[in-house]
Amino acid sequence: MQDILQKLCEAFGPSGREAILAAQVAEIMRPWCDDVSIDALWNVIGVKQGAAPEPRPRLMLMAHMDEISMMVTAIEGPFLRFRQRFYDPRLLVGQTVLVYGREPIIGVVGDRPPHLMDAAERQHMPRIDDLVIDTGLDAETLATWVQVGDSVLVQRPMLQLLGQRVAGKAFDNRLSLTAVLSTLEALQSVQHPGDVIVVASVGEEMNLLGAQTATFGLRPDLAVVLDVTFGKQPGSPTTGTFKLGSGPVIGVGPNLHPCITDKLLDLCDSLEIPHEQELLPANSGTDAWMVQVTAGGVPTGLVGMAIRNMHSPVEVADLRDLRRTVRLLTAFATAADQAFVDDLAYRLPDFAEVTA
Amino acid sequence: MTALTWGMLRQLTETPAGPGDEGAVRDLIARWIQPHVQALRIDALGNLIAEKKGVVAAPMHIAVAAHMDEVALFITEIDEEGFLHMASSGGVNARTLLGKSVQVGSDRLPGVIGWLPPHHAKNSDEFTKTPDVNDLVVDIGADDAKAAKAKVKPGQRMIFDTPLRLLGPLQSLNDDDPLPAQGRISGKAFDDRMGCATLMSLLLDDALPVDITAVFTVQEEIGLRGALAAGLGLQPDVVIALEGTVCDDLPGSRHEKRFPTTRLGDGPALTQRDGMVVVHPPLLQHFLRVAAAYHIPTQFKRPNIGGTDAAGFARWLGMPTGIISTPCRYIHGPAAVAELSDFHAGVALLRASLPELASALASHSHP
Repeated sequence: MQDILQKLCEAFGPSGREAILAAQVAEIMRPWCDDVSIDALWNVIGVKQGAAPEPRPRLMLMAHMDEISMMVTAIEGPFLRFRQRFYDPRLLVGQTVLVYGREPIIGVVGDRPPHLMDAAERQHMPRIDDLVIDTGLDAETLATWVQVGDSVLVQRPMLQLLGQRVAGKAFDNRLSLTAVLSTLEALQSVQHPGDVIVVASVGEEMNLLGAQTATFGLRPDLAVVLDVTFGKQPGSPTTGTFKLGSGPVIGVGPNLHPCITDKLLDLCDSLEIPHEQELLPANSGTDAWMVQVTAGGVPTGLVGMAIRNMHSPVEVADLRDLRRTVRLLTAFATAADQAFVDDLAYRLPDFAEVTA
Repeated sequence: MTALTWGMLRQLTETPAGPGDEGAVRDLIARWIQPHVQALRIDALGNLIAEKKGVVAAPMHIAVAAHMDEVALFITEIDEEGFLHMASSGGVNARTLLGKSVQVGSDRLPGVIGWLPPHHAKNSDEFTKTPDVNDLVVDIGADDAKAAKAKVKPGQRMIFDTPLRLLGPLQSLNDDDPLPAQGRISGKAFDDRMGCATLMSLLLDDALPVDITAVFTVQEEIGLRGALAAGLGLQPDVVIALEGTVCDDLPGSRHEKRFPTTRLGDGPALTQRDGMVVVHPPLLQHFLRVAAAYHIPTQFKRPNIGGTDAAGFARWLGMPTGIISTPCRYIHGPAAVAELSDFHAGVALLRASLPELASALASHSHP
């Protein structure tokens, strides 16, 4: 499980440029699926057939695989200018980065020596326009390796911290993707009635594009989306944040089908899986927001795992949460039979009874 | 040329050595130089002092110094949740701390400096202000205070964990490979392991022209403490301090003009005068004469800023001092960048300056 997480989080997969990552994900899925395909947008779709006779319920487990990134906006002599989306520029000062040009190139986003700053400058973070990537290459060589528009990621191998904690980049959302893939592995030795369709979706950090198109194409009977949520850390809000290691976080709110939410909570209780609830009054900020309304509507659930320092290169996660989430998803896939799916349908009242 | 290998420079820069905690780097240097020097000792403060015989005995006592310590974070407290709170030990650039990883204590435990996700920001001011070091914590993955305290204790140092790399397209060098003649390298603690590497290059040279005393000093970053002690302890006739120094030759923001202090690739930087010493003019003239004679490129460092061990050594006895530096971008942060040809040229200049050093100084003595 940890091997998969490490491989995935160290991989290259900015939104809209998931092709290489898609191939890596498909390769991991293949031994555990009856069919694996990569669609036109590089959503990776793996199908593991269920044991019930057809027509079987079709459960979609979705985790997005894209990550936030930077992009080269100009080449200035030996330096590159860049822009970011969703990346807090404060985190970029002093980072070692990989510029994905013709081949990956190591560069450094440096800062001025503090010796030369006055007090006012020290107290302010540089703006993105003040920063450059120092590639160490002369202008002519650089222009042959890199062009405007190339992606840039922070270079960050996964770190094993104390106990069950790990740190790395792109845990949002490769941590969830690891849970989904590991669930596939767990389902190899467990009977599940319905088909389990695993989707590693693209473009979540842009506009939930992959969630929309994959769901539209697949039209599942029900779905569980996995995404990371906020871990407790110094200064974090008291609500909507979760202690690392406190188990999966079950989403509750209008974005999610109440029966799926209840089922997830019941399974946690009966299997004695520690868990939390995230109360989401409206938009969950995840693929679930799109999945729920696509293709005529899909009953959707949401399972999260808390990470600290979200959208930084040193997101911190707890592997206990990952293992518990896999247990929960495996149990859910086992329980999602036709009767459960039938119960998800909203019913008209019994008119005879009402009028009487 | 230097006898230093890629692996030696790699270990030299990657090993942590906060001010007052230089043992790991000192051991590393001592092991490497021991077969090449005639005497080796550690003084009361922790300075590593090596006597190196040259081909001829020097008519005066020449000391060459480089500091082993680097700027560090210092654990001040372990809180109930197991986070490590910190203060800066030496001038760490606080603007570079967010989202970095560090090695904690002598066990070099991995930790990360996190920061609240931007989603939690209350106003846009938060994105422009430099965080206060006192508000940052290092996360070593501890569940609680007990788990953290089993592994670390207040007073230990936390140091960036940046590996040494050649910039450009990904390539890997073997530890046994010689240092490339040119190319940009990136890593931590170039201030002042570049100086240590320069000094080691002299010590590993078994055809060094004249005798020198090499001093690998401690606690430079918190006030030249090692040099202050060694200056009076050794009483040399002349001191040459070797540095990895400030370089600010970036394009910066597009509308700003700045004086770069030094420029990468223009050769070793010679100090005429910094914030603390005026370099002995005959010594500076000597460096320039030698550089011209051997066609070694040099540049002047922008005057009047900073201070080095040269000032520490000269504090009590006022001996002549000189300063030769390798320009390094982004020092006092997680990843500096230097040009190897500047480093090699610095070694060449220093070595070529030694034979005539005494006579150059003597000829300028007062009548």
